[in-house]
Amino acid sequence: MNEFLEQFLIESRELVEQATADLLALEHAPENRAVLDSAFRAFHTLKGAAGIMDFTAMARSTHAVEDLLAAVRAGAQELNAGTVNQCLACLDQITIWLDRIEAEDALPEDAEAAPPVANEPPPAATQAASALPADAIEVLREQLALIALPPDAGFFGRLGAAGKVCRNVLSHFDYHPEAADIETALNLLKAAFAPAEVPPTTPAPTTPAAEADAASAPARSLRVDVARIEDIVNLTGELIVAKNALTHIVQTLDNQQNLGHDLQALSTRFNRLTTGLLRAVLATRVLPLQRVFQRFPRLLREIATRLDKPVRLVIIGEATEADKVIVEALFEPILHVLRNAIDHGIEPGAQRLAAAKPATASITLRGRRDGDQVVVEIEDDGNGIDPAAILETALRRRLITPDAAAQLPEAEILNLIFLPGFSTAREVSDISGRGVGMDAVRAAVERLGGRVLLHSRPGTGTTVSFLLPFTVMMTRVLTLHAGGQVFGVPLDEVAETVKLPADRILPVGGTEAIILHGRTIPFLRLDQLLGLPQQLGLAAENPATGSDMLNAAIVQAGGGELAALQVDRFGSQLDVILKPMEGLLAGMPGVAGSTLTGDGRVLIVLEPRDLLRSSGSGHANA
Amino acid sequence: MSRTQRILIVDDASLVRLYYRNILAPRFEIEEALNGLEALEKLHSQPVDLLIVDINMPKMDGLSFLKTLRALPADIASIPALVISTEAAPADLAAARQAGANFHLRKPVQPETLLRYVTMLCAATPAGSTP
Repeated sequence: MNEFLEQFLIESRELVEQATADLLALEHAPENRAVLDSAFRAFHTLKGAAGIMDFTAMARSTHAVEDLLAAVRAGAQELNAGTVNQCLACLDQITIWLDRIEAEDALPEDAEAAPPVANEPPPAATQAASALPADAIEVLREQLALIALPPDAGFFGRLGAAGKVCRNVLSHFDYHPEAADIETALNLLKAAFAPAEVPPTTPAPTTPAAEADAASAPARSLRVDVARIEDIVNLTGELIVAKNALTHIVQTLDNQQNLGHDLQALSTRFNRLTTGLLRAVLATRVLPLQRVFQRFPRLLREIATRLDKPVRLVIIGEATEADKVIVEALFEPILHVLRNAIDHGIEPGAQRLAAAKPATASITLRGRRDGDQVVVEIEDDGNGIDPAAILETALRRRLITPDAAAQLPEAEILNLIFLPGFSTAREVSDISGRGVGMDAVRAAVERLGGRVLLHSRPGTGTTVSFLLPFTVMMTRVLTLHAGGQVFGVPLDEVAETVKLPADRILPVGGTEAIILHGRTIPFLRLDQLLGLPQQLGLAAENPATGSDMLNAAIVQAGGGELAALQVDRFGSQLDVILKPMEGLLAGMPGVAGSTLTGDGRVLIVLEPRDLLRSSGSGHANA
Repeated sequence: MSRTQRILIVDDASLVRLYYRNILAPRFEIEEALNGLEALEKLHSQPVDLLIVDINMPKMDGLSFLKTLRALPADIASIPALVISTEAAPADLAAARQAGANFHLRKPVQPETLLRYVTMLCAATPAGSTP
């Protein structure tokens, strides 16, 4: 994507988020001038960006909202739910445009046809747009003419003077945010020419220290394309794989004189460095939870309005940071829990009154760091979860037998809501209960390597907690089908995938081998290695490839050797978060870990070296 | 703000300077210079927030003064300038703009007009705080 367009997208999205947050805040505190100014600026900057991109439709709709907000600022227009909706609608339209630009890599061609959003600006808007008196506008116009003159020796002087005049006029008429924008530009201008403006005869200017800092201090943060960071993360991952290989070789060398000793020392250092690098790299990939939290006030407002249950959302700890992968994956699960809370947790108005609770329910969305974990809590002040109702539903849906139900400890009952197909909604609303339930929430959180906890206080509310890891290391795996099952193999362990005719397999002693790139490598059947039933008539399964073609993954067998693993067929490549095996399976040889796939199934990820070693199907160094 | 804005009046006619001073003195600190050269000297010794410049002056006229000024180091070069002159033909206005004038008023100027434009152009920012 062209850099200009990319920057436009990044900036516009940030501004849309900012404006959304401001507007929602304004709805509750319409008199907050600072927030109003901030919203106004966001639209103003959006308009400017659209203008630079020559994106007329967006410039026009943002301009209309800008006028509207100007009228609000001038006191000529009331800020109410209607006005806020009008502004939000404009932001929605912009988001649609931005999505399309991102998808199509170009400005939408038919955007012109889109209706201007704030299509009926109140008459007051025009009045506010000309809140600047005519003579002030004349002065501002003159400054534009001054700036537009062809550059000569006086260019920067004119630019600075014109900038100052604009700033002064605007701030004189209370356009403080705009004046501040110009001030910033002036400071940049000053900083740009700072080295050239120290005449030896003039004493050092007596500028306040703080201002000098502002002008000369280097930026403390950089805006980096996420793809670049992902590249670094991936490279680090590969480096760690290489490090693991080195560690392995060093171990096999063991005590072969000094060489082994030196290499071991080096390997240890290498180990430490790569671990540190990984941590540092992953730390660059963190985002504040705010990124996901800030989307909810708006959504909650809509859900609450639709269900006619007034709800106040309190957000705490949005500055808490977590791995980008996690922050970006949290939206769906949090949204679902919020929907549940409003739909099922929070009582209808009459019931709340009877229970002496405030008519407006409150939901707290909280983020915090707890050691190596990031905790996200969604807490409502509703009615809690009724274990009897849960049990009844589970029985009715035949998710549990009456016998099992009778024996179920009280503490376990609530966990029934995590079962697929469970929903306590009496009627299917369009908000929740659309087939995805708490089981989907749990699957999503577990896919991130986290856990979901449920805590209900009958009569006073429910808290759902997500316990998540701070950083996530994704492993790229290739899925393989063997013995009627699907397995994963870390892609770093796979040297090659080949298709070869059955007659290329050579009997070697009691085993088999193939010759690949001039090397003889052991040939093994993955289903046999894993002790799975053999699928008969493999070749027939895939008639298109000929009568007797076999699929094999060429994998690292340790010690720099390779081995060929015959599989039924290859699947796809996935980025997964590997979880080590737990409990009885913890010591299982040949297994690197497991992961949950997108469809909620468990995928066992194999560790080929280990598998080959434990099978005794010797490679050179066994 | 922290202090009163300082205005430098550059005009060779003492009556004009006095007239401006009387109008502006209650709200601004006033400096005077008789021509462009004198103005440049004064500017090097102390910063001002706004220049009020006549065009037709001996030694160094208003337009030469502004041209020289705008090409100086940024702090001095970017002082806003209000040109007040009897010359008001379109060509004169264009010449003033080309020299770097921020706005032009035609002589004679009414007290309230002068006060209004000067106030707008100065706002409330102390000199020397920006380029």
